[in-house]
Amino acid sequence: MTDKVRVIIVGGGTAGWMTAAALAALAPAAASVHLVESAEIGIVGVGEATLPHLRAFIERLGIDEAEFMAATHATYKLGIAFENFGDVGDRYIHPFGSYGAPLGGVPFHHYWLRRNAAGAASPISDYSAGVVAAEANRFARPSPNSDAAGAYGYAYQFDATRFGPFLREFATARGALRTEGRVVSVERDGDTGDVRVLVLEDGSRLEGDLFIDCSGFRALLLGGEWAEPWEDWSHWLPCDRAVAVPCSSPDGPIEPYTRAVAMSAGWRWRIPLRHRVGNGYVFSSAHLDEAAATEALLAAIESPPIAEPRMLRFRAGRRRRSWVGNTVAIGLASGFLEPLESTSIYLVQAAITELLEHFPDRRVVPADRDGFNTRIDAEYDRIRDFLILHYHATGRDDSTFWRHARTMRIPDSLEEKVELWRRTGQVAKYSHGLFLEPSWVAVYLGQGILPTGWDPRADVPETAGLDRALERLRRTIADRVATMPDHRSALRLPVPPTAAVRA
Amino acid sequence: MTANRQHELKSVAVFGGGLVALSAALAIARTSPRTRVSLIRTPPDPGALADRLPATLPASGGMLDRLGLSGDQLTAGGAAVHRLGERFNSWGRSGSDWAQGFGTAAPIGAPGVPHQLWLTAAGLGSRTRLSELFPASLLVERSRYVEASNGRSLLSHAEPGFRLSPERLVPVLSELARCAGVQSHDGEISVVERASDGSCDAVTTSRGDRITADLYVDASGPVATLSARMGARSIDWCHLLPADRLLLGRRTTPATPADDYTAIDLGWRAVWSSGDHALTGIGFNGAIDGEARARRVAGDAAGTAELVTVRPGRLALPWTHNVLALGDAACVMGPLGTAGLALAHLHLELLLELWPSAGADPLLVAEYNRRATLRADRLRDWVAALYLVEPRRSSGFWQTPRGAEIPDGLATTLLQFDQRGLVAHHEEDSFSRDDWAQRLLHLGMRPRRPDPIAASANPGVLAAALARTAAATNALADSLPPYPAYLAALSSRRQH
Repeated sequence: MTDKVRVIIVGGGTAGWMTAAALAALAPAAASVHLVESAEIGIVGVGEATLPHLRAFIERLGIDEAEFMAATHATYKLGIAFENFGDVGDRYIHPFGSYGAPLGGVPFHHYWLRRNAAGAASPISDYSAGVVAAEANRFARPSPNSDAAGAYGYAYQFDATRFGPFLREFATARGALRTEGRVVSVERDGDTGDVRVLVLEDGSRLEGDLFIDCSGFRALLLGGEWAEPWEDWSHWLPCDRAVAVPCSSPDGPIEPYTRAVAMSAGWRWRIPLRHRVGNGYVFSSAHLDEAAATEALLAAIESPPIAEPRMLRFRAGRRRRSWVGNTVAIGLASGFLEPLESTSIYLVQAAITELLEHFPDRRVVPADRDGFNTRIDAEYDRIRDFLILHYHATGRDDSTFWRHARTMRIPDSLEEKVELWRRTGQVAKYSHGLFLEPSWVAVYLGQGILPTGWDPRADVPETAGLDRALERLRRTIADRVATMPDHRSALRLPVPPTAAVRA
Repeated sequence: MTANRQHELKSVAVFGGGLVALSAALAIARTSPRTRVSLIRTPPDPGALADRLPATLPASGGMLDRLGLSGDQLTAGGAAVHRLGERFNSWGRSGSDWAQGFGTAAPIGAPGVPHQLWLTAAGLGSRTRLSELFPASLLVERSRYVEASNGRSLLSHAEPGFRLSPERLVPVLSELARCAGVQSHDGEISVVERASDGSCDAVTTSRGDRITADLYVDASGPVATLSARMGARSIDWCHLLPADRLLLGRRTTPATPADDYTAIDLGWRAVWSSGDHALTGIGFNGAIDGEARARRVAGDAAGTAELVTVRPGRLALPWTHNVLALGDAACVMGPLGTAGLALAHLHLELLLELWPSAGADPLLVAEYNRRATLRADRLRDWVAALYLVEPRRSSGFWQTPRGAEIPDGLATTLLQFDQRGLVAHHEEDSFSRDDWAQRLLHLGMRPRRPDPIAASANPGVLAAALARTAAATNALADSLPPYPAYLAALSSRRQH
């Protein structure tokens, strides 16, 4: 049996403790885990929305869902409501799940496009159980046996500042060590440049084989020590600030979805938790100054703030490589994309998954790094393109920011996808990675890009029969949603225990 | 009311006489009932192995459904047998005999990837064999199979394809095509008229019929007459798939639910079970060994076996303008694995997904080519691994691929597996990561480093879990009748 790899994680927060928890739970024989975090350096924790993938992560670690939700004050999330993106006054929900079901091998949305062109279709959202439930502020866990038509999934909206500590307890109970302290210097190997020792403020030394840089935007190791170049995406995604403030929960329903409302120089999020609402305005400092953005946010929130607004600075982009030498950056140290589609924690999870797949020996070899980097780069780039679409697919002309978004030159790969959609209603497919066909359909249609053509096979079924089938589907979904409890009640229902054994 | 700017294809002309062409004509007629589909039956090409040795994979099974063919009816009616996997004898580094079935691992009850758990346990002295963790593989070993009646049994982890009988299926598909409105007639491609933009304007047959269509499908076999006249460029795979000659014979033998291959110095022997008889093959390389030697090895003194020549490779772009090549016309996979029809069906499935309208959008065509070539290359790599990885023999045939430049995708797969036992995801892969891991392990590869998750399993718990799984899988195999008995029961059940 080979020696354990000594893994040193720099930085706590969500990224650091997710990594520590995963290694401690899944690979205790292969890795020893030691995390160093400074209590003084603020954790970037604001109300956070997630993707359904997080459920798989929780389950894989053997964490009980009910315990997790209670600890993080989580609510359910069926999707994201985008307002004012395509145009001021527009609104659509991008759900987790699909619209209808294919007929004769032809995706549902082609049939919808046909009837829509005839002015005879109800909104496509009527054919998504996720959207219908979200609009009705209802929630029920999807049954695993439910039919394909309008199937939906769910994720969480939670207090990220509680997620880290929850995982810290989990990880340390499984053997992960924690040291509180600040790294003041780093010792490197003279030949390879590998990081060997972290020296803390109190003089203690942490020796390791593999270093995980979860130090946030500072990127102490990957940016500081290794000086790995940064690929900047601000020409496509100019937002570089976020001002965040929580407010009290209003009376009435808790929305089972996140809101993203486009503003004059960016967009603001609204993430309802159990006992309060998280808000933030993601904006471009080149188009709006910090004071004005703060004012705009405070004017927009619907109840009094319960803390001082906090300002965060960032840049859209990623490190050219996230794994260099014997250092792997996870989280903000590896790259950043604004949380428009709640992808931040997903990227941490993806990095952890790939790290486990490419887990090295005490000596890291290029094949480990290259495999990891290829996968992570692809994840970032794909998400980037999808976010750019949200901005570019706009008719807005009411501010410099939106004029820039509408007229900017977008990546070729995205240009071709949009072109193909415009002409044929087809979505270019990847079997792996985020944002499959229904997501693209949701954003294209939600933001007003209607194709001029659709699959001609959808023209074949006789109209009356097709309309009857559509109506049946719409009613089935509406009926199903009507039986769901409202979100507040659903949150009070017991969460079924997670299966004890995972294969 | 806004009209659909994507106009439907008014007409499609399919060229070819075998199962690939019939599949295409029928599938297209069914998916687009208002499109006029013509089938021009070109003379059979002896080298069209996709038509002559047709077999499906679980990944390609969806096309059988689309064509209105049920596996049940095919097997009960004697038109197909189950193809649960492949047996390889004297193959790989240790020259051992091994079996690989199509399907998933049985539930093991320990966290981690099945082959990694097996490797870890083997390192600790466990005697459980890899195939005991995969029901389909063990059933292939024991030559037993029964269709699962409910989704939860161990049997449901075995996902067979089918070996089809061309003699039985051609008439069935022809009739189905006729009912679907396909107009068929015989013909040989004589003249191809090209428009100024390079697209095909019309095809005239040797009988004088001048055929025009919105889309032309070239399923005419490896000669690929239509594609060749369109100036299609080819990519050669002979260095990776060295068997370019096949000595094809036939013998009576009890049915098995698997293909059987044995490595010999000349190349390999195959037995492809087709119910009450089997086709036999000797695969070899014509430049290295002559026909006479092959016949001697085959014991074919009478010279009755048919010699088939093939040239493994594919078109660089299977779809150009309005001409789409399918089957052997697009890609010659070679005889090992008989993957030609499965690939053709997968490509046909892709066409139905990226269904063109009149004046096929160039972006759509490009997307088809991107995915179709990825699919073909990955399937080629799946077969090439059998030649490239750890061959024990030093004969000319087996040493040929060693000098070949290994394509990137396969090279990465081999490197990652060698390091970590990791199989990364590939787009358009027809096999799962478990499938690849089984193949590479059976060929003799052993990862240098242990998997961290499997290594963290409690050794006692792991050994017990594997032993339990192996016992269950063996019990399943023990409980099943020999395959010929099962086939007989199926067909007699059908008659009642």
